[in-house]
Amino acid sequence: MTEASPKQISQTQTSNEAIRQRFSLVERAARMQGVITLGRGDPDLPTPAHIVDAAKDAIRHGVDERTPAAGSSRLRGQIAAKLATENHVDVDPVDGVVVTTGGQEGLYMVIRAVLRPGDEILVPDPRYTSYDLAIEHAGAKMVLVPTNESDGFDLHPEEVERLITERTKALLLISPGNPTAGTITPPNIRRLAEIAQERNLLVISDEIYEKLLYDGTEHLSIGSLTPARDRTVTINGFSKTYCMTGWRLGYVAGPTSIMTAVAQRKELWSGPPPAVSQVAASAALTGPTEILDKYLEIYRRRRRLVLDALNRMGFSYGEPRGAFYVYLNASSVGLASYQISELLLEEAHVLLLPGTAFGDRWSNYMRLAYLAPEEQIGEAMGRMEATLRPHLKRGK
Amino acid sequence: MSRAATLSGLDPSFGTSQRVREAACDALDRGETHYTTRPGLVELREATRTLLREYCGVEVEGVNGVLITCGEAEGLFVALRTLLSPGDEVLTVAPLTDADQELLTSLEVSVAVVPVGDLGRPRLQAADVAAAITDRTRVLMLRTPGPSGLPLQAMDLKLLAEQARIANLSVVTVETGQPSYHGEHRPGLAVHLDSSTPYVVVGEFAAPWGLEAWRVGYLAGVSQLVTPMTELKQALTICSPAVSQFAALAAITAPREEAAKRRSELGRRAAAFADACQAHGLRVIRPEGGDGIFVTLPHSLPDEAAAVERLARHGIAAYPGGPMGLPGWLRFALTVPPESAPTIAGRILELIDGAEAR
Repeated sequence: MTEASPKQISQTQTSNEAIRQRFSLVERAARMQGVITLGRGDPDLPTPAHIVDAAKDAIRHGVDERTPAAGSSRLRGQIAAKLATENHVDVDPVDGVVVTTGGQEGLYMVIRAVLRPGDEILVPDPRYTSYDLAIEHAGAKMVLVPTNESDGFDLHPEEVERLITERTKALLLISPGNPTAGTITPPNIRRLAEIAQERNLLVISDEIYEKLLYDGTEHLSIGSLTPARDRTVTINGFSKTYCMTGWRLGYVAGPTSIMTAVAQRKELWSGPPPAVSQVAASAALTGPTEILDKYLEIYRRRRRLVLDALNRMGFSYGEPRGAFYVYLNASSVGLASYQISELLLEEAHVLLLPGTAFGDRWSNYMRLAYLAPEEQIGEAMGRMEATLRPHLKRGK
Repeated sequence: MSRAATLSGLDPSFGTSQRVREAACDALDRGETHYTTRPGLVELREATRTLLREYCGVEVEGVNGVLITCGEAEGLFVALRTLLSPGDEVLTVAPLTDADQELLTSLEVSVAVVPVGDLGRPRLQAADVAAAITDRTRVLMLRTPGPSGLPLQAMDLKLLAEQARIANLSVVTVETGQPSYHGEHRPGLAVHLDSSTPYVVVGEFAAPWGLEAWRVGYLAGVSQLVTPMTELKQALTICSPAVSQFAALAAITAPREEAAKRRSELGRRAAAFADACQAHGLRVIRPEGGDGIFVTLPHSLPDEAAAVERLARHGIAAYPGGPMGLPGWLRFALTVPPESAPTIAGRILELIDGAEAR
């Protein structure tokens, strides 16, 4: 069983070199000794104990039957209640929520359910490139909306409006964003909701970092706003807030007509998420929240540590108002971002992801995820400075 | 046939073994709550290789030839979506499950289904297979055993393998390689494939492993196919759930007797249900493996959909055979303990046939 024929290979090739590079770095780092990983968006903090305990309790007492493909009715109801209470987003608890095997799968299913060949979807640039395949599979076209470091990568309604054509079907929002950690300011969110209504756009709002906010930043769910209420699909998950990446549990919620199409695809293409993960998610939604405040404080301290070090090194960055990333401008190093990642990994044993993993035009940027203990972050910043110092241009 | 179980809310329900429960709890105690590597835990991929060697007779080249999936459904979607484009054609063998039919329809491909003659003794004709292949055929997809629980004979599998080679098809073979209820070793299609035929084996650690609710499966084969499939899997679910992977690892590295006991129990359920149905004058296709059974009335069902609906109203899940290429038949999951089979069979007859048959 060796070579595939040319005909078969041509059908199995996928395009995204950036994703390959990103995972190649992550996998190389995992094989190396002594690497401080500030690359992957996988929180190092543990899943809160009450969530783990709930899962263990369910395992011991038997959680042996598959749930419906769209998730257990109990969890769907809890998600709908959470959205109503915390986000002021109203969805049907039965037919308006689909539990997915991670938020990313949710986005794939939504894109495939709503986009048709030739449709255009507006996506903020830079972007999480794993979304690209969903758009490609739908036969749709991704239209990038520029954002900039200078204002913390906010998304400007006038830029969105400028790029709308008669083929534009949807607008993707990610706030706080990945990789930028920037947020879309509430006035801009409100105007984007009006534009969506005026131009008959569907809004897909990825809010997975909604609870990770700093310096008084406010999160506003676009689905709570009247103009966007009936045209918004909200995507969220448990990975980031609750440190549950390994449980692979997310959800999408929105108008029942869209959710029905999403549920059909979920059943055919994937089936239900694991029952145990759903029990854990249920505990996350209904359990104590003090631990989340504690985690946020930890992130706040780490963020300060990183920003102080970057300031010392002379790097600029968009203000990281949320999430646990800094998208830093490394143009002063004088190397392409992938080369910087290679250099840092090989010489400093520190992993940062290159900006090109998030879009072609970001070859001067790096994503740093402060997902390691403070001592390690301090050590990583020191190694980074020592390694990059010979390359840094004067005056920066 | 996981879909039947899913929609009915009834799995064979063997429950997760104590060993697996403890392994899952231990993994959580160790803090295994983060992403695993994209293709899955190395230990689980290695154990899956061993399993495929033992059960399917397939030697996968290294752990990079194995991708751990969130169940069979994800594995099948990833494989077919990678290999097929809209307008392509898939070759398969009757009966085709309704879930597979819907999946292929969602991929905008057409399907050529090769007939098997007598349902109780499925056989293929070379001319039928050759006639079903066109210049648009890209993939041979086969379930062994199929939804009827009956395997194709080795000579038929060889015939399919040869046609795949001649027509330059990729092969997606859904097989667990599980022995029959009686322990007879029944490898599927993969073992018969020529070394030049690109293939992947797709499956799930489900009923025989007591892992229905944990949603862990596999996709394994030649790296030229598995590599791009891993990229699609990454774009979907990144990796499979960590605790489920540890549960699967504990299950498939356990002594094989545990799985054999569950297979044997499925066999007892199948035999008891088949006997009870026949005692009531119903016809059955007696399965030799798998977790479902086909049943029909002495006279043909006038309306499968109505029968299914009537049964569902009384808490009995069934699937119409028509969409699977078996009109007039209904498929039931083997959820009924042997001692309850006569009662359930009688109830089915009563509900479907109603007053007309009495």
